[in-house]
Amino acid sequence: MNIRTVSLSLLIAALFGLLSVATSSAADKFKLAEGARGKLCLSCHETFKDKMAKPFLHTPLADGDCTGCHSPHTSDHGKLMAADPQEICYTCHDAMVSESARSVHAVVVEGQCVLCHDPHSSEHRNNLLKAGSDLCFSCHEALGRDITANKFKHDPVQDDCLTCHNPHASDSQKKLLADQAPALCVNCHDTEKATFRNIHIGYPVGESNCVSCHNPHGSNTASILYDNVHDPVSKGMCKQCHGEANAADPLALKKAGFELCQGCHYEMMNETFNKDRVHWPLIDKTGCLNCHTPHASSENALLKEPMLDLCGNCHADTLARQERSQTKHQPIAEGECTSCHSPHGSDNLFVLNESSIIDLCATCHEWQNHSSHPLGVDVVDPRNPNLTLDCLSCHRTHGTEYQKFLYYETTNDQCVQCHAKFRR
Amino acid sequence: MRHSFIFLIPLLAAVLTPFPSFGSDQSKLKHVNSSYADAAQIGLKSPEGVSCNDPYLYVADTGNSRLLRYTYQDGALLVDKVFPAGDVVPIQVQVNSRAEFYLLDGKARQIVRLDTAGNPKGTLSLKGVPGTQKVVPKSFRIDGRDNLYILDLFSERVLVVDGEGTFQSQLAFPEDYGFISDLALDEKGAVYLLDSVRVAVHKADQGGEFRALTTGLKSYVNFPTYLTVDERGRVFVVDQYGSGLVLLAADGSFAGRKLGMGWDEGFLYYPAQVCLNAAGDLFIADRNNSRVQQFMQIE
Repeated sequence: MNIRTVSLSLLIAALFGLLSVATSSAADKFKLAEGARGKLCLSCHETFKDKMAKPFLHTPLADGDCTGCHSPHTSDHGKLMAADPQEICYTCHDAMVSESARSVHAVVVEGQCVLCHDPHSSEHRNNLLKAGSDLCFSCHEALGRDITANKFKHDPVQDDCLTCHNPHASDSQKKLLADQAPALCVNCHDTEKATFRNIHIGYPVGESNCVSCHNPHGSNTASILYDNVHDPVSKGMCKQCHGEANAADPLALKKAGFELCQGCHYEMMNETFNKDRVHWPLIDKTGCLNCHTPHASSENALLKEPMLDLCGNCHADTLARQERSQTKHQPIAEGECTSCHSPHGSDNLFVLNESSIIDLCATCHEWQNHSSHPLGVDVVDPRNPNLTLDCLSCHRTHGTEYQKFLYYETTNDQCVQCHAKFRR
Repeated sequence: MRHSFIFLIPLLAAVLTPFPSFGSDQSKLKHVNSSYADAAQIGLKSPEGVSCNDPYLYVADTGNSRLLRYTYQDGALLVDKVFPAGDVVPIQVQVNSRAEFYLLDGKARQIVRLDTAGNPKGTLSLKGVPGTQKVVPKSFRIDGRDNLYILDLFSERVLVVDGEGTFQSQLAFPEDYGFISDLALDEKGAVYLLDSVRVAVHKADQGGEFRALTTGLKSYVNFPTYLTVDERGRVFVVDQYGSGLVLLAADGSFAGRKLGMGWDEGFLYYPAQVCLNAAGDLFIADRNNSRVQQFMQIE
């Protein structure tokens, strides 16, 4: 027997030793009688016979090791769980998410494994409660409804979300994606095919971001383009913004920033640039594309995201204020920032739509309700000779920590700011 | 015995003297003056720009399209001269060593020149600037040699030009930023950039590139829009949406928050810009209160 054989034997013996310690630990812990284990539990829990008959069994149950998850006598947790139900799965499945994961499924973070998995047995692989996309749509209901209703469907989405998404976490991608576009897309779509090249008018989009035009979940527009398509895209007039398809760098933009868009949208641009104040991001290097997507979008006006998210990317403090506010301002809650602000430019402070705060608020509020209190350009603010009284004299539109957007905790505190003689 | 007491006294004094803690600042701002109108009682309207050039304070009275020159001797803050700005929407004013004015026109997004008497000298035309892309000035400052440092939003750089607009040098924005809204200079020639969205300050020492001076300001600042640096390298950041000032130590650490939202004198309502005079007094364009306020720093 040489040294190599001896080492191998010792290693195998050690592995068997570890395995037996692991499997016998629960039995040792409760000093169970020979053969007791799972069979003993099933003698009372008769309904488990049905569960045991299902094709996919959780390993501890298959091994008859109910004490792997349950305490037979007492517990601090419901269903005599041996540990916190939101943590117990990680006792064995501790490597589901890497520490450097870029995105993690919320239910995994919350330890809500049972929202997807049956802890005992299932008709579906991995003990999943349902098969394919149906399982995902039990939580992602609105998305499921949209996908079902879409006129033009993306087949993999109908079958199984896991074609593109990882269920637990993604190490490198947002939104649990298994990979990013186009790498993910070219797993199925052959970019070398003539049909692919023809439909993209010869432009080398095989290495571009497919989801800048196509809605991976399907849409009501042909070729699953997002439902709002930029006119030049729908007309195949890529040359409006890009070089010729056979140019050395065909996807290069003809101009940078707003200057590219100005070629067509000159009326809007002229109007904007004649205003006293411009929304500065419009004229930085990224320009219009700070807020708009150039090809297609699910949002109106080709916005990159729903308006609240879009504006909140920069003005997070404003949204946070509304979040903290006791009273919510409806336009903000509904993501309609443009109810009050002109996103391109305006003659007014805060790029407001109206020069008069009273007129602006009156577009929604019947300010005559306040007619008992003097308001307007002829009513000087007692606190400051250069200000006149308007809605903002008492209310902060994005919210305060007090009710009705008041600056002070009580109405009395608010009023005595001007009516000082009534201070107590 | 007596000798040991003599040794003990300085030791006790040293122990009992509080150590200056890094990142904290004990200075306070005391309100000195507020100005609401010129000598003809024409009220200020949403002033945004202030520039301290002893013995004067210059104010861009934005809403009235004019420039005001103030004196602040003997405890009074008085308008000394009014310069109409015509069609310009002046959102910033800077003055060089020869008392010539440069205004940033918020509407045309150009830098406009005025001579010492306030007569228009046309727009600053840039010469020899590298690159074919447009220049969009968002802010600017003037250094001790009368060079202009222009925050070029479109081409993501700080352009340095002389008083006639001839290119001297340029400095690229840092690679990763949210939205750069302002720049400042210190006495050693370093350039500072303010990132309003990331709530961060970047600094480039003379001849160097921009590096983050501080990035963790979100807990202290709502939406900063303007900054200035004092002779000790402390950075005053205007938190416009938070209606206050935030003070950073020279190493970028948070050193305190000053002032707060309000209408009474000593309070701010969406302030725009701030400047410091040689005596260390702060002048703030209190934009939405349509006034200028003077504060004294008390250590």
